[in-house]
Amino acid sequence: MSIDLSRFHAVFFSESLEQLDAMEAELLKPDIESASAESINTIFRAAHSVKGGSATFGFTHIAGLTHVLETILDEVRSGKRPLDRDLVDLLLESVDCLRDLLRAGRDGGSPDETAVNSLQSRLNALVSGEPTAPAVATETDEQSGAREWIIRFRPHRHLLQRGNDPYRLLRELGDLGDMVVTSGLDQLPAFDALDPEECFLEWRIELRTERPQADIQEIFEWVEHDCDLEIEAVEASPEAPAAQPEPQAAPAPASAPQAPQVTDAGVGAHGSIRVDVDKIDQLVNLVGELIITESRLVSLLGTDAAGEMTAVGQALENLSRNIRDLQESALQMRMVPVSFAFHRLPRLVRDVARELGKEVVIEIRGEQTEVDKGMLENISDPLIHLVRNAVDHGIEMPEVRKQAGKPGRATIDVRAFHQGGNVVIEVTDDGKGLDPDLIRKKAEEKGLLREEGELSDADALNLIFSPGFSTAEQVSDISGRGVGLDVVRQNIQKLGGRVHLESKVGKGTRFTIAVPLTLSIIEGQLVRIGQSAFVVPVLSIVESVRFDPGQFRTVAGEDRLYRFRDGVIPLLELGKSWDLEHGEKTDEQMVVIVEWGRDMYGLLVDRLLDQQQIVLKSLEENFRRVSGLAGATILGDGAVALILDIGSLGVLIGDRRRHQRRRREREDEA
Amino acid sequence: MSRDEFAVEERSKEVVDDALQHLTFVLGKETYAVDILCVEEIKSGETVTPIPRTPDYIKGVINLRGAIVPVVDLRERFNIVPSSQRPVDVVIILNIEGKDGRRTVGAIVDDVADVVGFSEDSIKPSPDLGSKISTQFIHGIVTVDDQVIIALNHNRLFSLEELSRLDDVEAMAEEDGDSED
Repeated sequence: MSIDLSRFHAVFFSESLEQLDAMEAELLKPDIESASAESINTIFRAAHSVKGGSATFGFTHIAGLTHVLETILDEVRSGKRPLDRDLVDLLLESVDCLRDLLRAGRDGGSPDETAVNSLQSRLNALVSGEPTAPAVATETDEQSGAREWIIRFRPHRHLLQRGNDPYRLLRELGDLGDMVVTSGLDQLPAFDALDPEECFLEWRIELRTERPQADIQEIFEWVEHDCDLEIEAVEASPEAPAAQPEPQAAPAPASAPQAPQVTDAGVGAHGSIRVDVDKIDQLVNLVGELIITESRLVSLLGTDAAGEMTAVGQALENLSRNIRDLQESALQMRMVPVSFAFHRLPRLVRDVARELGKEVVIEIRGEQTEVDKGMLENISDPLIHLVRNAVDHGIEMPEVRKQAGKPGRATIDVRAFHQGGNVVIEVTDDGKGLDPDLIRKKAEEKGLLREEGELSDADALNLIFSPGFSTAEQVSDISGRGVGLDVVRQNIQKLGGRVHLESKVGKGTRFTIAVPLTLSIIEGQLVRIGQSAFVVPVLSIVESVRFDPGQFRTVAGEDRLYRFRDGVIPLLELGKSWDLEHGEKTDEQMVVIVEWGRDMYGLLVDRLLDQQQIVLKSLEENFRRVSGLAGATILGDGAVALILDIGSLGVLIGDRRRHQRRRREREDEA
Repeated sequence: MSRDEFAVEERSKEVVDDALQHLTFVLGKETYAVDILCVEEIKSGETVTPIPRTPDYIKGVINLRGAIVPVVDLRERFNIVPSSQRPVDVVIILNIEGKDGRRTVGAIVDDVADVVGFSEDSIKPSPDLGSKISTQFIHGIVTVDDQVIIALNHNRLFSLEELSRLDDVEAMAEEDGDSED
């Protein structure tokens, strides 16, 4: 059998990494010491499937490590070994180590051999040393403990097509003890009728092992619906009748029968395949093309058969509906649950809290909320930053908390949900909160206060998003790595999202991130400037007001300002700055007020057009970045419209104003 | 041109395997050629969306089956007087291999002429005689059926540096502020 296994490696790596994540998630549950049989089973199953895969693909390090883990977990499962803090730490360390090994295997790097060996020997020591009684018993009582089993394993024909390898199962059985295998060839057809993808063989296995029946059954766990399996004890030793029901009577069985059911439902209801993201993007692009062609067809037909509902018209309408459904399904494929961004958080909180001597639990809700994969990758880092910040700066030491009448153990609540076309993620801590007075003072020291006069509390809080601002008394190793909240805010804004902050002194702080569901589709406001249509992302828009020349002011002949609410905001006339060909002047001119960072500014447009979902396309793919533009999109008629980059236009305005201020200052001096 | 050189050219024309197919097109009064393997398709009547603050010869972007593709007017790029004032421009869509990977670019030309085959050997180095196009973009000169064809180095002509050139109006701040600092 010389099948090239390497093409399955990618799947093995990603699945194993997921198993490790699942294992870690269970281990990090706050009440793990008194964990339910179900949690331990989950951990055990994860270790087991990593072991199975790594043995198949010949990753001996991983297989060796998981094998010992399995032994330890089995002891935990059967109540022979308590799951204490130290063991949890050791297991977590093993998860890290396995992850390194998997990544090294995947990326072709070399793992840290000494770390692996040290861990392996510590695990081995644990297995053979600590629970002296059972280990010694198995060593010496091998004769009396060992029993003989006869296993009849008749795979169904489609076993191989399900990705199972009988040879691997037999090899695993061999690990349990001594065995004699006889192959049954009765079903084997004549050579010309042989379908190589079907399994015609069956086996009779005589196995001598001291391991319980459950261990044998477990090997067949993944194939039990694809084969006929009989496991029979041959020679009943005196304690056999007692031993046999044991697996059913021990605490494990309560969940044991459930386990296969769960897997069953999982396979049946949520079968999944892994597809390259590029392929999906290609599909989304093609659907986009379909939509454009379809709207052209509609407009062509519209002129010919105006008013009358022809058969062609009806068919076209059906087609349109199908295409929209197709688009939705295609876009849906890029959606993944936010849990992928959340799963690193519990570990992070645990490690940071431990390091600082704080007690923190994290509660995660809404992890099934779906978001575009590309978006997810981009919110992951800001999210980690916020959570790390919360543990580091937000939450007090346990003694301080108790003095303030709060429980010593702090809670960080992370919640995700959909709101409109956005995904909202809230990070709430019950720590000390932000003190607006302290922030004002700090900002004054750092010279961050630009305007004179009173700053409202809300505005003061927002100062912490300014570059170079840190309220921590000292820059700690954990959060003070030079990346501040200003970067978090900018990253979120780059995604077309917003960050919002609420805080109460003594009560806690809540950061709210709102981002569009996907990076590739945004809600866009179409505007006309001159002859061209541009798109303004709706999330950036504060308000649109009718342009009133009376509110328009020019300061010192330079600054173009517009009166809005109680103050004035800069007004950007792209028609002039970009020298766009002017259409007829209308009295429909509007000012679209947009928000960037802490600032607002207005965009003067000739007309507001539709608001619609637009597919964001990169200009860089075939051209290059153009300052002031975030990309382009294709409108229903096939024409290209450019998307305004509110961020970079805002930066330009800032530069312009600084420029003018400097110039005025120089003039004043002169 | 010496007799020997002529003989070489004759021979290479006969050996069809050696001949590389080229697409020829007209700019002003001259005929140019690009390797046909880099030509994706030829389009006309495209709606071009102008991009603000880019050089004039970059006419804008078009929608090529969902991809946003920049379009360069080669006549404006090289100050060539168009041979015809046809309302419909012909756009040759080209695939360019650059340092930063593969890109698709459209080139507006007066007209597409023909597909001709000539071998690499038959391309002579370009004598620097008054062609509007700088020699760095010219691969060489080739004569096919008494017609002189200028073979272009399309990868260089549409390189990213080339497309970003002349983009001196980068920041609005400069335009609005003073130039002293």
